[in-house]
Amino acid sequence: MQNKTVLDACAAPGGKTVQLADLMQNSGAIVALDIDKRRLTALTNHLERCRVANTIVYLMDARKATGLNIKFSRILLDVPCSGNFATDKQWFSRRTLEDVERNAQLQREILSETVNIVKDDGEIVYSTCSLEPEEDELNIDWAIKNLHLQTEPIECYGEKGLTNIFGKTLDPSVENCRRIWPSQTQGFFVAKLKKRKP
Amino acid sequence: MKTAITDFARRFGARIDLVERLIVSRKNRHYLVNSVLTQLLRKDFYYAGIYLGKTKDAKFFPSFGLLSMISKTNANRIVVDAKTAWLFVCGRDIFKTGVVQASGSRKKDAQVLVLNENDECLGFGKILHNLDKTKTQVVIKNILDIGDFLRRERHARTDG
Repeated sequence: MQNKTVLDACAAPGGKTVQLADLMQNSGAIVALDIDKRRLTALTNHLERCRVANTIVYLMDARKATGLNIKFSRILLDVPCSGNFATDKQWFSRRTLEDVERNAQLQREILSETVNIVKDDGEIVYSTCSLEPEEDELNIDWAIKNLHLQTEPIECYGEKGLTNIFGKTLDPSVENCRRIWPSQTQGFFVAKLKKRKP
Repeated sequence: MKTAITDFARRFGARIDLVERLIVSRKNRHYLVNSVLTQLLRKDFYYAGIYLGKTKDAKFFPSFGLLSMISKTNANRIVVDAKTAWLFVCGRDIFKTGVVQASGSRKKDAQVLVLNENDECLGFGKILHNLDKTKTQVVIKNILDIGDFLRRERHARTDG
């Protein structure tokens, strides 16, 4: 990861940004975006406390990231999501199907935008802490079919991504994703994506 | 901006050399960037590179990154033992008995960086009594310590 140009598209509060900087040994550059100014305070506190030196932060909607005019070799999309019941006891009473669908749509918009700014040989890591297939496998299946992306195998614990959901059969490569059910950790979903070669 | 930073370093008897063109400012906050970041930086950035500090009412307030950079020079500094380090980051002043080592100015009113035994800069303070003449008194008044990271988050939550 050293000397790469990395985009952290939904960065606040900054735990993953700091981990990225550590992986990169403070070399190259991270561009960190978030849309919420209050959350940027937490992000910048993290950066200062952990002596991160390779990051530029912008108050910016990830859906406008093409305006940066930068091509990135790596993009982290830890997109806004519905969360899950493991971290929120009132999750079932607080969330509706409409919330999930709205989030899924927002996630697709962010994915679509970032495809334009990843280098041809670059990689996008997409993650959520939601367990809803609409925000996870179904979005990845949509990206494979509409954004000319392909999934890449990842070395990470967790189970294979689901390929049969709500009576629908998804692209078999969705299996490359990892779905981490809440047990030893809270629930999580992660996928690595690359541009498909023409 | 460079002047305010070098003037601040001089308070510790240190000289710090920063390249002017690599110091960027947004509102009253100042940052040190490298040549890679310079190429990617737009005017509307929120934070960039290493935060150096802020100016308010013509006064300069340093960041911990800057203090750490100054501590790598020949600045006035004291090293404190583990218990004193803990009390210092909780906002307390320093007793002479907690000082393990001192270098640079030891005179009253001089400003000193406070480091733990792992050579990590914990903040800075002001000498209240000549370090050579006193044995048990409070000798360093706490001006700024890294416990500020936690305190400022608590304030942000209260404000928010």
